[in-house]
Amino acid sequence: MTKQLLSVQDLSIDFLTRRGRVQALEDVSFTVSEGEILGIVGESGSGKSVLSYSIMGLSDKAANIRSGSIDFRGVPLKPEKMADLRGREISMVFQSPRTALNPIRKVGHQIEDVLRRHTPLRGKVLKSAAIEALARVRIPDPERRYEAYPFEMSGGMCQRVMIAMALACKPALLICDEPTTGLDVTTQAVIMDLVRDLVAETKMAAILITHDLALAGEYCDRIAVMHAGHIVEVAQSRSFPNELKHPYTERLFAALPSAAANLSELAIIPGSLPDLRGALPPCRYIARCERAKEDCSLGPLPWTKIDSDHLVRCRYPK
Amino acid sequence: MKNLITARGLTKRFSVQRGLKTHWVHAVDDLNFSIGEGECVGLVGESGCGKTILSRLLSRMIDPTSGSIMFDQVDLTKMPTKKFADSLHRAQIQIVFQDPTESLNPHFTAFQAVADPLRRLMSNLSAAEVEEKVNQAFDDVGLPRALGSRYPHQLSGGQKARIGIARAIAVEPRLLILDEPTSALDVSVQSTILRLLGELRAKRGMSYLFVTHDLEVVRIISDRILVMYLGKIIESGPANQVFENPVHPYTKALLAASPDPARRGIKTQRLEGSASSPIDPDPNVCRFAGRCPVEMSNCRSVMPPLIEVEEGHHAACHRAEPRGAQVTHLPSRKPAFPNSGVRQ
Repeated sequence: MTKQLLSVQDLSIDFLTRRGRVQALEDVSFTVSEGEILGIVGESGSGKSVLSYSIMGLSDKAANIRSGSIDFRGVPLKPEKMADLRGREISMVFQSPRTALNPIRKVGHQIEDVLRRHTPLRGKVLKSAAIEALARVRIPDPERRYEAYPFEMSGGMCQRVMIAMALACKPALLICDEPTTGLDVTTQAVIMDLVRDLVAETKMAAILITHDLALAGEYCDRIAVMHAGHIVEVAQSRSFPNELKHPYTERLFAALPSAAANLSELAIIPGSLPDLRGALPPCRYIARCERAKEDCSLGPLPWTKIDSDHLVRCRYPK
Repeated sequence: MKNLITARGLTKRFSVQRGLKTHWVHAVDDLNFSIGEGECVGLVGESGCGKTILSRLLSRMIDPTSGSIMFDQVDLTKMPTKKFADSLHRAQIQIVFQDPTESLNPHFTAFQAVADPLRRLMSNLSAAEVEEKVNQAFDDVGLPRALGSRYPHQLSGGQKARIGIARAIAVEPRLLILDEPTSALDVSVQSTILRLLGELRAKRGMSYLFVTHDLEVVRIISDRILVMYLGKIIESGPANQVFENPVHPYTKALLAASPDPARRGIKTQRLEGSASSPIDPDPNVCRFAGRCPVEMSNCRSVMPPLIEVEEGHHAACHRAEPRGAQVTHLPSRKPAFPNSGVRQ
């Protein structure tokens, strides 16, 4: 049994806005173990990024944690301790590398910043550690790239620098927030192979946040599917895609071009995400669901256990 | 099928100064292809391969260096840009741009965005006719007419994508160029937009040039596929043939790079590195050389020409077997143009 690294229990987060309380996350629970890649999949607006930012302690001021806890190595994460953990124990790879990197500083210096904050390394050792970090993500000619500015590199190369920066202090948990959006498919494959290999080499855990179910299916060990602030299904990737049970997950998979033989087979997900302000039904998918029955709008939504590691939040799983 | 648009020897070069010497970026290099009436052609390739330049050339937003674009028996390249802007052809070739957020004017309401090309390109329309056509376009793309008074920031990504499409189809084009229309969208929104585009094509009989880097998307929407690499077409053919029997190693690599849950945990050979420089490439070296997993010695001395491997299916690779070839050994094939094959 591998050791549990991160445990999120019943996390509910609201955003207090001028136009009402947005219930961005409700009762979100999951765990990540060492050496595991967990995929969090959902449409934009489903709460994936709110979740990752709250783990990183980077939530907006308007965010209000209504209930729940986030434990890291069995200890609750405290906001005042986060600055020490962030970048050392828990790291994040952001969505668009070009905007996340500082455009007017050499990438090598940006990696040194992380090392200077968290390690006693200084001077020449610091530079060689930064070059080693670049080499670890298989950047060719790392000595030369150390001197490069972000604009001198391709999108895929910038994303590698982001990963190098995140891995500089050898974190125990890496959160990748849509690491390959905007990149070519060929570059995407190379970057994702790299993340998978680094996880296998270092026994690190990773969370991959994406809207692409096929990508999560290829690279993750387990997948959590989110819809409108709820986790609606958690399953092992091997039960993919035939054993997926939640109506939303089914639709999400059928909406992938790779799953369809032709255009008429391509599924569309009817409706859109509900407005997360005001009163919400227990099942937030109810308005879009073709399997919804009368009792779906009653009482708290149960978790249906399909398997020891396969849970569905639906009264009528397939 | 009648050809709607035919490009012959289409080439675009950009000059770059390095010191005293002028170098040339070969953005689009000697392309020959056509798009039939009502046909959907998918154009695939990595960023930087010249897809966007090609779509700008076809819509006459930029001038080609050489070559011709025949549209309706008229050579568009012979027409000055200014004359083209006023000609009837301007409305007949329309583009849907990549990022729905960045391609909409933030000061225009949705209605104004769709009405603007109508007022410019169909100046004989009365205000009432413009309104009718805008409403028709809104209906066609499935947007509620009530959204017409909204500004882009008040709309979702999917709605903005629909406005981009409505704006392009309002002037009743015959060729619609779609430049990565879904790459900025969620999977769920992408599927609705793809379905919508399929329905519009059936309803209006338009031809599509669908530009994307996602092979899975072109597979389901296109009749024919063109694969581009560094300014050259390296494989072309009917969509199902290219998918079932890819010939060029680059096409194979692209197919292998699409995420597939069935390949979980399996190490796949990936294309490492990036494309070589498009600045003054050697005309006798295959553009894919250096990244190619099956490179041979003559790949660096002879540029492989496009040869037919199956009916209507062409590939530019020395390892490709020409159609009808019975011999399986690999002779050093004669170049199509004797002079270009020999290293000077």
